[in-house]
Amino acid sequence: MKAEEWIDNYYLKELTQDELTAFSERLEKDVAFREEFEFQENLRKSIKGHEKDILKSKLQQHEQASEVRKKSGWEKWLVAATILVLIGVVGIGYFSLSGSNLDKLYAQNYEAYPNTEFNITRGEGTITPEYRAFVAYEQKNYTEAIDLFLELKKAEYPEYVDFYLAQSYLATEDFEKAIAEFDRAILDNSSFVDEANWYAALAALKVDKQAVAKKHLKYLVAKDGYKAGQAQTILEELD
Amino acid sequence: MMTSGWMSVYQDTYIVFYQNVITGRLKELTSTLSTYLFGIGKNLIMKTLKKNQRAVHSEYVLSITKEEGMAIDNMDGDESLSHEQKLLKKYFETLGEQCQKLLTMFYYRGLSIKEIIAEGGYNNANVVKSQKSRCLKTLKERILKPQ
Repeated sequence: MKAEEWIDNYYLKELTQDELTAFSERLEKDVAFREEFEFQENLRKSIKGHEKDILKSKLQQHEQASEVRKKSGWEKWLVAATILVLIGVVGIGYFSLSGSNLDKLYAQNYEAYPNTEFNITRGEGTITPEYRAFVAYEQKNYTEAIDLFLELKKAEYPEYVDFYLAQSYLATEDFEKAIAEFDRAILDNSSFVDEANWYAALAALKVDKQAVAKKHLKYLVAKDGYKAGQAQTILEELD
Repeated sequence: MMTSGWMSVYQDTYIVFYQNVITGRLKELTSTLSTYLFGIGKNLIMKTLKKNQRAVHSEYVLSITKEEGMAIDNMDGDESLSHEQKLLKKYFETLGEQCQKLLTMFYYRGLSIKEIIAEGGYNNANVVKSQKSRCLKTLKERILKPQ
């Protein structure tokens, strides 16, 4: 395969796994090939920057237009957050009227957390164990994700692995293990402490550990943290 | 963060969301849209805060930024582009509309040749490939011999 065709096929995501391996090897050995690929990679990033400029400029124009209404971006976030909290409160309020139990509280509030940590776009780098774990997670192959996250934890691992492992346990309804991993994420003071408290509370509800659930929910309410509004509503429901 | 900082996060959140859809990174939402957007927003804020504390443990912060950057890569606009990439961007912007459109479809949007044929009104795959090749050549020439 000619160099040009090879690189084209890389961007078109048409290389087989074997070809990808050969591609990486050639990148290491063939200087001209590597230079050409680096040129195209730089171009790709430049175009991304160019597109971002266009989008940013459109958004800024939009913001200037709304300046008339004297709304700052911060206020917009507040408005958006308020609306979301209201939706949550109204939703849970409706639900509480219908009479509930802990399982229902869980079902009403549980929603798998999206992968916001690890970019799994093809062509961004080599396939690492972490990449495989997050691919499985995004594809909702939680059992596979659990194995891969556990594998990652055998060596030094990024702090968010505990949280996503816990999420995978939760999705497979292995609540006790989920709670243990969420506790670890909380203890490690990872960037998901608030989220881990929220999900640990939900998992505790599911296994009928009301006291544990309350402890996590009270933390969120006191801190006015992640899902504090919903946490408050659940607390009222439990009392 | 100052109001301008929040404004920037707010705008960048939408840009990341838009780019994730356009580049095919986001094909299906596994959560509600609001959770996804707040997830991106949170990452951007963390990244900004960490950048501001860079002086402290630069090595540690850089390693975190690298991880964080994976989810929200290249979000600092020109600041995150290398000198070479900024120059490339400048020359890319001097290319004709057709070349810009084709290269954008190929490198940024990650479209297949079939999709490029349909969207760009090309006759066949060979035309697309040779046209792309010419665009790259022109770009390289302009870099080597700026007008």
